[in-house]
Amino acid sequence: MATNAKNISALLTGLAKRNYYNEPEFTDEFLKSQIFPDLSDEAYATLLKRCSNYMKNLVSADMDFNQLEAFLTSQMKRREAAMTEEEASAYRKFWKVHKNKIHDTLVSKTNWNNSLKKVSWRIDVKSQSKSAENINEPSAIVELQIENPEESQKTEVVQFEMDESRLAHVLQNMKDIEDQIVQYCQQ
Amino acid sequence: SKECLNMDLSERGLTAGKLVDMKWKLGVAVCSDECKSLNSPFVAMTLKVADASGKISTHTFELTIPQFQNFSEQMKDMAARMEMI
Repeated sequence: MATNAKNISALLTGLAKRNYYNEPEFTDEFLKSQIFPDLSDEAYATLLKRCSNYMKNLVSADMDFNQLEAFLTSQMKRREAAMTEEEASAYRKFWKVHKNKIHDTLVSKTNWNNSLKKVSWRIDVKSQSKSAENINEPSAIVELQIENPEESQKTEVVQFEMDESRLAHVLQNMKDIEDQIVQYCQQ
Repeated sequence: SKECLNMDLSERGLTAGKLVDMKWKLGVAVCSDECKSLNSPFVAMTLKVADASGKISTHTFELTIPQFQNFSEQMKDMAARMEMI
């Protein structure tokens, strides 16, 4: 049973689903039964190892497309077990589709702190009839839903109120952060 | 990220505390066991909220840059609305 761009692509996608997208049903055995039913167990094991290693290289370096081409070219020039054009084509196609998605998955998997799930807000207006002061004084009520990565069922709800001056202070913080992001993160 | 939604809250029975402090840091996750080239900036924040009795609770979370920008936009929207009142 020959390996070609199509069945290698299918194998790569299946491996990505299991290793990165949290779909454990795509086991090695399942993938063999679906994609390479006629391949010997030994040949399949070799292929699996080869594909896994190549994928790890791509993912670990988060290769851009120039780096990918250089990598594929070097693999195709090897004396032994050189990569075929069919294989290279499969990796190009795979990486085009999955590069960013896998990277984003790894980024979120490595946030072991709480994440902010939802932000809601409203503005209350306080008015007092007895004195002329404090009439129509607005205050911002913010509700944050904070999620713990270990216990994603349990969400912590935090509510707080800010008057205009506290909000101005918060906005200044936001601006300071944005300035730092521009300075340090060439996005 | 679509995780942060801008929603006006309807009347709630809960009493909101007061935000007394906000701290932040900007970091970059450089690499991990699965990815030598993670290069992922993040904003970590700690908020201190005092309830009516003065008791302070601390809440921390971490945001990706798009999540932070969404949060920041929400705060700006809120301030803009407040100006109109």
